Amino acid sequence: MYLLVLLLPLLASISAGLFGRFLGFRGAALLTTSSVFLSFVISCIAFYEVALSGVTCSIEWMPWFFSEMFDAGWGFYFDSLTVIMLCVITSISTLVHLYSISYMEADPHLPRFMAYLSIFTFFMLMLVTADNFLQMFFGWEGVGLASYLLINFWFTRLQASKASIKAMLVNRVGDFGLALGVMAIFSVFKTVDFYTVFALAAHQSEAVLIFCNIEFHALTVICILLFVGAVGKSAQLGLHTWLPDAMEGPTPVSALIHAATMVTAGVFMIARCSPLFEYAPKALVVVAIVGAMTCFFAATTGVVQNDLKRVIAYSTASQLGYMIFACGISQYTVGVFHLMNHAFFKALLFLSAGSVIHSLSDQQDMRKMGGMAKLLPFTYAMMSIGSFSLVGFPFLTGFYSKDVILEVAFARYTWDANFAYLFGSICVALTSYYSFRLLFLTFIAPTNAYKSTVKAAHDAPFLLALPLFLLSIGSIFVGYCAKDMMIGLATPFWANAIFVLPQNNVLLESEFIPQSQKFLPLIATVAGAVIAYFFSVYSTKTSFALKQIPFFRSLYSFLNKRWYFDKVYNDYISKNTMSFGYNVSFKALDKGFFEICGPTGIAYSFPALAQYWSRLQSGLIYHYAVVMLLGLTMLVLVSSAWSVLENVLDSRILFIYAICFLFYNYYNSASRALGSTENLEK
Amino acid sequence: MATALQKARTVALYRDSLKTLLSWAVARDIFYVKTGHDQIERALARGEERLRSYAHPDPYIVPYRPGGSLYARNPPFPDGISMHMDFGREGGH
Repeated sequence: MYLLVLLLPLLASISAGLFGRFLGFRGAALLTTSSVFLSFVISCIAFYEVALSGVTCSIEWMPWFFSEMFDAGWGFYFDSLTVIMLCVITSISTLVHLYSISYMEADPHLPRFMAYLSIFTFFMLMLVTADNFLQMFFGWEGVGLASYLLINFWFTRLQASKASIKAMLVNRVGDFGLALGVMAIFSVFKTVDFYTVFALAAHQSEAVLIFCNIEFHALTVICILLFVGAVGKSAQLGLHTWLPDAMEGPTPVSALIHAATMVTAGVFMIARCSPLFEYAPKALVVVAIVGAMTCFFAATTGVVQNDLKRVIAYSTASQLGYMIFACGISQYTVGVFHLMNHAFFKALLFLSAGSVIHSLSDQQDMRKMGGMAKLLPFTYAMMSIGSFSLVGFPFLTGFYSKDVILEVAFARYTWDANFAYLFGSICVALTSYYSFRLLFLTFIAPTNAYKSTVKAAHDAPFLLALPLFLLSIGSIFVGYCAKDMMIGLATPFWANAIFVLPQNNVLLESEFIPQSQKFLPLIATVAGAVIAYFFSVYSTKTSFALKQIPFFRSLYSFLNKRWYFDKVYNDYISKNTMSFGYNVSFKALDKGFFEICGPTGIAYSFPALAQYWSRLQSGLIYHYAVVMLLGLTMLVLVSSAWSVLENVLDSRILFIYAICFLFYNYYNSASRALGSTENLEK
Repeated sequence: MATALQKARTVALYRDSLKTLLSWAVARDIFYVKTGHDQIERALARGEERLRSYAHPDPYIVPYRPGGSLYARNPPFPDGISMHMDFGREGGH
């Protein structure tokens, strides 16, 4: 039954993708949505059996690679971490499928879209249910592919193509790190199976890897390489540039992939590999610092974005930063808890944004919105619930994980945790500012929309509204309901899924931090909201006047242009790589070296050789006699001195000789050809 | 933003000033210096420079214009290509 969770979306995707023309619009939509819904139902059963009843399930399904020492099969592993992810993925995916039916109804390629959504769901499920690193890598690459296809769904748009290629390439950098990490795991543990590796982690905690004659602590190297993969997939600082551009895809895609599920794969992977990370404290410091910096960077950038979806995209990157640094300070359970909560309210925010965009005739710019609260009351309510949950308003879903993240960061008295705490606390105010700015600019401020747009505006139809409503329930209650189950003190929920060294567990400690620290996030949230109200509604003149001051104008540009990361990457990395690709690898190597040693060299060498040899046949008997004499002499010499010569004559010398021979002949004949043309010209 | 009337008045003012100047300064060499073409050129250059310094990093683009979010999304097929099967919607429902 557990395998059906994976099989149903795959079958639905194949049917809708290959036979969409026969199934039609309604058939494809119905098939994919009902399959994913069934898969959600089975996930819930799996959740009950595995997580609540504590029956971890492992399925060895099929052999894949069985080569001497290297064994990796198709296998599935269902523990608490997996089933939590299963429930999150399939529930959000069902709602997004449902939403897409209405959102994309005017698009002529709906069956293709539904097929992509389902194939994405399948790959994501593959990623979380894998029982070895290789299969996880398969899912990892699969979601990358699905993400590419979905960003490029409107492939006639140049921007969409560019964004999808960017997402693919940037993710390749991360995937390269992940692949190296998996290889390093194999070289240390001689297996890629999760349970073997994790069981041996403590045993190998002192192992070293030798690279370039330098000894490295093996687990630190492995964890940092794995983290590079997470940086790419979870859009952490450095490889974050693809995420905001990925907003080119249709809004349901942004909700499903670029907010709720795929981007959290990095967090999932770190939580899954917690036994490795626990024995690599230096890697954890890197994780915490990068997470905190991402959190801060994305929040500052989100503050000045004008595109509705981009604000939410940066908010996603910022929240991913929170999750990653929670993992970096060893609180994987809190990270995963925030992942789950974030999935609900971020999907709600994105789908509400989609509803706004849908009703405003595809207007995405917040500068041309305003006053929508009266026109779209339902969407306004949903967006407010999502935003309040995101900023951590007390007793909503976001509150239960975000505040805990800050508390555990405070309660762990190491410098990296302090750094993360500082940045995380600043980000609370920034998060609140951009969330409320979004609400105010879209719904409250005087309208800037065109008259025709306002006249055509309509609130969400039933199929758009239903997923929003269900997600809003999740955004309000999930945190409260799941808090004690997932991050309660001494909860048996996680069993062996997540491993934390006893000295790294600070959940109890965090209960005893000063009460003022616990109030700090709330105060920051209120401050952010007040400032947002002041600048966006109460005194827009002040905000304009500020933007006229040269310093603030350049600061605005700096933040709006995402700290010029893309410009630096383009100017210093992409351009150099392109020129290397053209000048060195294409012109010098492909067209130069390999041509000379390959086809051109042979084409020139053999005629020249033939000419040379043809001169031997002179027809004079004494020439032949000399050649025979020389040959015989040579043969006698070599055979009598072979005992000495065989030490000197290495077969590899023959290879060098062959290459030199080609070069020599090539240049000889080329210069001869050149000479003859020069002669002709004369 | 200047209204159409203000624009017309500005143009008329400039044209009249030129005519008046030509009546006063009979000699062409004086007229050319006094018309202030160079001054206007410099002022325009300054204005353009100032506008550039105020360039918005993320300007508003109408969705269906190049660079907008609707631009080139599902463009119509070229003439001569017709859909024979429209995903079961041939009846127009």
